[in-house]
Amino acid sequence: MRLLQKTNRVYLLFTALLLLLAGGFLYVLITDTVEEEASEQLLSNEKRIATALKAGQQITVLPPVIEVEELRGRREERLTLKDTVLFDALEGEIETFRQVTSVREVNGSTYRIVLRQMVVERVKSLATIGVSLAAVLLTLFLFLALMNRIIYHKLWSPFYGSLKALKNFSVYQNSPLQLESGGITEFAELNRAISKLTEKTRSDFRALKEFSENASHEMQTPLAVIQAKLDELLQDVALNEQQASRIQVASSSVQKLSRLNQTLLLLTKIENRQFIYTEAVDVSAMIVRQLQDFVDFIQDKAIHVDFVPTPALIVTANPALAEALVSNLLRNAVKHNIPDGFIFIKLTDSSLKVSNSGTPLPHAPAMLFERFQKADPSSNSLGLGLAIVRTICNLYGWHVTYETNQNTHTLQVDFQPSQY
Amino acid sequence: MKILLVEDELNLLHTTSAFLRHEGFTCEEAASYSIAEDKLVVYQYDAVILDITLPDGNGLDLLKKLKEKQPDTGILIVSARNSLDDKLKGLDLGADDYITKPFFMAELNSRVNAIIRRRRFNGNSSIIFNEIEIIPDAMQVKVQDKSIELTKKEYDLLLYFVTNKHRVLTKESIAEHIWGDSIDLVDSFDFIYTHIKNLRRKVLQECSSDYLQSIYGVGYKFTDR
Repeated sequence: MRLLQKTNRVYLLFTALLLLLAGGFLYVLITDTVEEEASEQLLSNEKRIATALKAGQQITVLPPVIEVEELRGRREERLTLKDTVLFDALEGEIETFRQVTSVREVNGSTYRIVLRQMVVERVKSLATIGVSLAAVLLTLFLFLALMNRIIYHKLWSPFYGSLKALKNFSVYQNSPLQLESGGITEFAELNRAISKLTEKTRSDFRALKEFSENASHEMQTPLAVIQAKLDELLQDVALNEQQASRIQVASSSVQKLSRLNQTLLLLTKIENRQFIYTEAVDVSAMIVRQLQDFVDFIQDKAIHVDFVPTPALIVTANPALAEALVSNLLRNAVKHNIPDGFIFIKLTDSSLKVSNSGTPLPHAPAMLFERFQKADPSSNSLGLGLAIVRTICNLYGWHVTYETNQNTHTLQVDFQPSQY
Repeated sequence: MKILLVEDELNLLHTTSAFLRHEGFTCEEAASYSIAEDKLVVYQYDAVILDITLPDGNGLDLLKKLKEKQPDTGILIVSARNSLDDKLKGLDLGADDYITKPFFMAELNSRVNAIIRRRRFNGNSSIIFNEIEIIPDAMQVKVQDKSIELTKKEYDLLLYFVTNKHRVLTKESIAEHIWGDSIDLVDSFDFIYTHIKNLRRKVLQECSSDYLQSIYGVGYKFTDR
């Protein structure tokens, strides 16, 4: 429910209650005043008639409003005031009257004077008050509805503008959010808070991005110094076998550290969505080229590769990332293969399936895509290949699945969401 | 051959320049953008080895200036970033090649030699090592004037050995030179043994002595000493 609707609902409820109270009060007040006025008028008319009688004037009788009657015998003078109900022949219905009845002695004769005045029925006055108050309430409701539209469209528009800007906000955007306050203090304050928050997020993200890049960048130069010094050391003709092999192990570790650094940087860059450029990539051609690059390694293990190039699969992606995806899938299939094994590659118009022979997984299949998950802990591998595959798939909304059937491992990438 | 080495990390600068001098180059050092800029105004170089991240300026700007002033100078970019963007930008601006830190000295030597060969002789010079002659432009190898058929990998291997003669080359640096990033596909570099064996059979058996020495299983040294 909108805030406006909610406040209006409460507002209307309270107004209705107030009007009900006012109605009751009005009813009591009006009926009392009217009755008092009627009584006062009747009493004063009675006095006038008594005075007229004293003066010997003839009184015109007008039932049921004025009735004057001479009584026989003496009566005690009295004056009563009451309400009575009579059939009014003129109106043709029963009406309520206020009635004054007096007995007076005028010039030795006794008169009874009866004066009546029609009064408004309580039910009628109640209905009248009710109807008018309901009319007020209805008018108020209509007015509120109209006001809401105006408020919603005019006053709240900066708020909805800010809300929309916030919904579309991304840490990757290059410029700060543009927010309108419409000259309203609360919205201006809200916008200030939003701006501060989003700017902080943006600058933190930028700093993090720069830090991870700079850190890994700064690491490469000391590694280059170590590598150069080890190279130099290895040229020493006085080295014995043990020393040479120690230097080689150190040199290997430098290389591995450098590759690790580069790969983690790549993962960070993918996650930070720094590969913006995309183009149509022919996956089949890419596989052909990469198999050519790996041919020595494939022959070394005497692996049989079954792949028929089909130009059916074109995906929209960053070419370097598509290359990394395909390369890591193929490397994985070569690396974890067995001598005289096989690699089976199948392309459809929306998916790439790579199956390879190998030994059963030493860990749970769910762990396969985790970073630093290695089948053989002592191997030269970094254990980041399939993590890269998954990160790239996540970026483009592609789907990667793993299946195993005894000694065959199958990885399948479905490209559907981003396909032409 | 005169080379300018631009690198802000002094340890690396001195080690690399000492190595290049040992390889027979005349090597000058520039530890900053401004020093490099000054030197390029005054002297001519056959090649410039340029680290593109310098504290007092962008190496890519220096590259642009160099291309205007000395269009014939070969340029090898050294970067700490293995980023495709930097690589493409550098090559677009006219650099001849690109190498990522950390590198093997032998690899640097190979690249610099290749650049100078292409620039100075349009690839028309042969590389002679005793009775072995390598003609890079034709990718041809002759031993005692007899042509020898080699595969691309065997040729690359021989060129790498001859370029880095008298030097201990680890199996890792050899593998990386020939197979690039793909080397992490194998857990042991022993697989290069097959290719070395073929090279021995085709070339070295024709030579007066076996120039290729195995160094304790660490690597190889191509030498006649």
